[in-house]
Amino acid sequence: MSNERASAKLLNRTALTKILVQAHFEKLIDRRFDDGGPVLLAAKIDDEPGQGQTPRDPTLIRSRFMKGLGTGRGGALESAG
Amino acid sequence: MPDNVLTPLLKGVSADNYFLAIGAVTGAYMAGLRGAVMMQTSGFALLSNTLASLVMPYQIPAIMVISERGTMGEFNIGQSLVARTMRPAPDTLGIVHHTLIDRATMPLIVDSSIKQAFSTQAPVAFILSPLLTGGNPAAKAKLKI
Repeated sequence: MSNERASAKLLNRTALTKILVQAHFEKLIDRRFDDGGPVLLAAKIDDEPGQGQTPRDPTLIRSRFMKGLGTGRGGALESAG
Repeated sequence: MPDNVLTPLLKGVSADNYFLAIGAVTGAYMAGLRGAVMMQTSGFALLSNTLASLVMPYQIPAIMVISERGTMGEFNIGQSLVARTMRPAPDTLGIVHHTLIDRATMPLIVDSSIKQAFSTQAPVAFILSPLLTGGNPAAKAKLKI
C-alpha cells in the first residue's frame, strides 16, 4: 500500500484523487466541503528526487506553525501584535 | 495521569500515557491554549526523551506537576529508586523545577513560574512534596516496621 493510500485509509477515506495537472489541483482546492471532510489531496510535482534537506530548526518550525494558526509570533524579532 | 495523591484534584481528565499527555499540552500551546500535565514521580522518569526531543528543542512552555513518591515513608523499592532521578533529570536537561513544600509559598512560586514559563517559552516542573500533600494515603498501611 502506498503512503498516500495508507494515509487516506487512516483518514477513513477510501477515495484518493491523483492530481495530474495544475488546473485539476486548483479545482480540487476550490471545492467546498458539502460532501464532508477531511479530504486528502496528494500531488507529485515532478519525477525528480528531493533536492537538499528541509531546514531542521525546531523553534523556527514551531514559530511558523503558530504564526500560520494565528496563535504566536513569527520569531523573536517580530512584535507580538 | 493521576496517582493516589493527584486523583482528588482530577475528575474526568486523563491521558493514555505520559507521552501523549506531553504531546497534548504541546499541541494545545501551539493552538493557542494552555494546559498542564499532572503525574507522579515514576511517570516523569519516563519522559526524558520526550522532553529532550520535543519540549526543549521546540521551546514549549510545558507545565508539569509531579506528586513526589519514593521518599518520606515510601514502601515501594522501585519508587524509592526512581525518585533519585527526580531532580537530576530536569537539571541535566536544563528544566527549571521547584519543590512545593507548604501552602504559604505555593501561590507565589506557581503563579510567577508559570508566567515566566510562557514568557520565556520554557517548561517548568512543580514537585509536590509529601510535606505539602501528606504523601500517598495508601502507603502508610503498607510500610513494614
